[in-house]
Amino acid sequence: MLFPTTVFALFFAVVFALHWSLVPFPRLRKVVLLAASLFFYGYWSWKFALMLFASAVLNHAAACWIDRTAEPRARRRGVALAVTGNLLVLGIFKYTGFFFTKLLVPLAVPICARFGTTEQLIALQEHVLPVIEKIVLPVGISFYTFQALSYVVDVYWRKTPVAASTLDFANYLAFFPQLVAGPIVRAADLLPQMVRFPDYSARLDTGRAATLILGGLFKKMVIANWLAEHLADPVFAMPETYGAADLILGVYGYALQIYCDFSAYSDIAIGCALLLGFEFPINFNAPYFSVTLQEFWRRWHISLSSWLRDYLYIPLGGSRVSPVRTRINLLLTFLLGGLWHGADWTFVLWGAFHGVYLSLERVVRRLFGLPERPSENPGPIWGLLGRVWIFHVVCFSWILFRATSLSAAGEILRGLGRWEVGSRLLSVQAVLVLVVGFSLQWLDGTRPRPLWDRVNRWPAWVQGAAAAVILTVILGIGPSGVAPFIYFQF
Amino acid sequence: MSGQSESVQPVANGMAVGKACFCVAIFFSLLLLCNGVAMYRSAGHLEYGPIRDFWMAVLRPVERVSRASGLSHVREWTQATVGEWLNQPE
Repeated sequence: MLFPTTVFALFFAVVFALHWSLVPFPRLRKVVLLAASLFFYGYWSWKFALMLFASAVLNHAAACWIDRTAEPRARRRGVALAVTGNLLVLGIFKYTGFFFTKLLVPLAVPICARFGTTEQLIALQEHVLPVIEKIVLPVGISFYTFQALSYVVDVYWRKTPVAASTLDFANYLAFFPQLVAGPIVRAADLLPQMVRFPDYSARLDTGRAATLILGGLFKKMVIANWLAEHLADPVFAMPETYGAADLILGVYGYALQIYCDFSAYSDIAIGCALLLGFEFPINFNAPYFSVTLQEFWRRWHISLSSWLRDYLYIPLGGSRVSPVRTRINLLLTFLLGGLWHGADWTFVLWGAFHGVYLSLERVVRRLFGLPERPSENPGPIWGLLGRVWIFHVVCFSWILFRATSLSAAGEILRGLGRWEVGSRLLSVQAVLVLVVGFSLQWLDGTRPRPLWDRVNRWPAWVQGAAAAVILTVILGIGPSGVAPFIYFQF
Repeated sequence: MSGQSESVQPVANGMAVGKACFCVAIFFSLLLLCNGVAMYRSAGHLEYGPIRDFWMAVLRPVERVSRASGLSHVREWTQATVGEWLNQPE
């Protein structure tokens, strides 16, 4: 079920009404919310909704067992088994094709040619490929697997108490607003809210919820969809037919498309959760205002970058080991972060690029004795230069991320040297949409707090009417049709 | 690598649940009336069959009220001006 559709609007209206009318029946309310979340997911595939439910039951059972067990070695074995099981399921659905077609076969080709067994390799491919093609990636599996992993590991580390019931944990794992594209909400943040549902004493931040939902819909339906249709998709589909100016416009377009698309999903998810009385942490905080790449990762997909930091980078030793080992940790974290986004070499290279660049930033900081965290106010000139530079560094990495293959990425990079007179994609509309898309970052984080407070002071009927008219205007401005969110594929 | 994820503090001047329900009811009702004509039109593009018949039957009265109240003009006007200018083919 996609957010910007009539079906979701109907679904949310029913869930909202049931959620708040069932306050006197706490257990039934929890069951209804879980059923709604499974319906939301099962609307696409019931088999995968059952798989999600099974994941909730098994992970909670594992966490309970780890929590009850006192013997350290048994606890370690338990957590290792739970982590392996989760990663195995993710691996089968997401990485089987990549492992076989892009890793195993290219490695096996020269070996088989040397030993004269190429025919056997072809026969193996003929048997295996049809099986691999039948594997369908469940939407959002990477997101809920990471949430389940964080819960089991936190229980093992005794950082989070085990959930009171399977129902509470299933509601945490399957909660529909953040189920398919995040944010990856930690058990410590959401589980207590799932145990004690909000009641009639709650004060709903409707001003913030409305701003997030309407802003998110505007970002997705008007800006991201326009940029995809008019700039990014044409350029990345046939880069060889465009000159350097159009390729740059296409890359800028994609940089803002992915920001507006992904942050829109997070905003709508946070807004919907707020209306149901639940609070999620912020997932984006004006990432293209960053002065360093390190700062960019503190502002972009915050829930994933902090997950990778806490469950991968720090357990590997983080920055408390030798400088060389720190760089290896950083590279490994980003390589796996890249692979999390997609099963292709382009994503691995994208992760490697970020890992290497971050290591270089550390070296430069150490060399010039600069502080570990960049200054909040680096001065107007350094601030502007840093922001422009980092925006372009990130844009460069988006080429690897968006390109369908390494050769396609190479084609775009070669094309950047192909300067021609004029541009086919430059228009008043393109400039306007790019400027508006970039400026929307001012709505991230807590910057619009004064606006939320002002909206909160309006009477209820004015808020409802204003939101309806604004959404109608957004629907009128946006192109027809509904494009899925980019991060659904991850 | 990255910092702590940031949470927004709950507000004191938020809306009471009852009022919020009223606000959401107003929102959905007005949204339906503003978009009744467009929804009826897009239901007409569905594949012929019982689902199309159902939505056409449900949305027909909504479309009539939407048109009679003049609320459909908000979307039609936006679509005809800003929408068409922005989404014109290259």
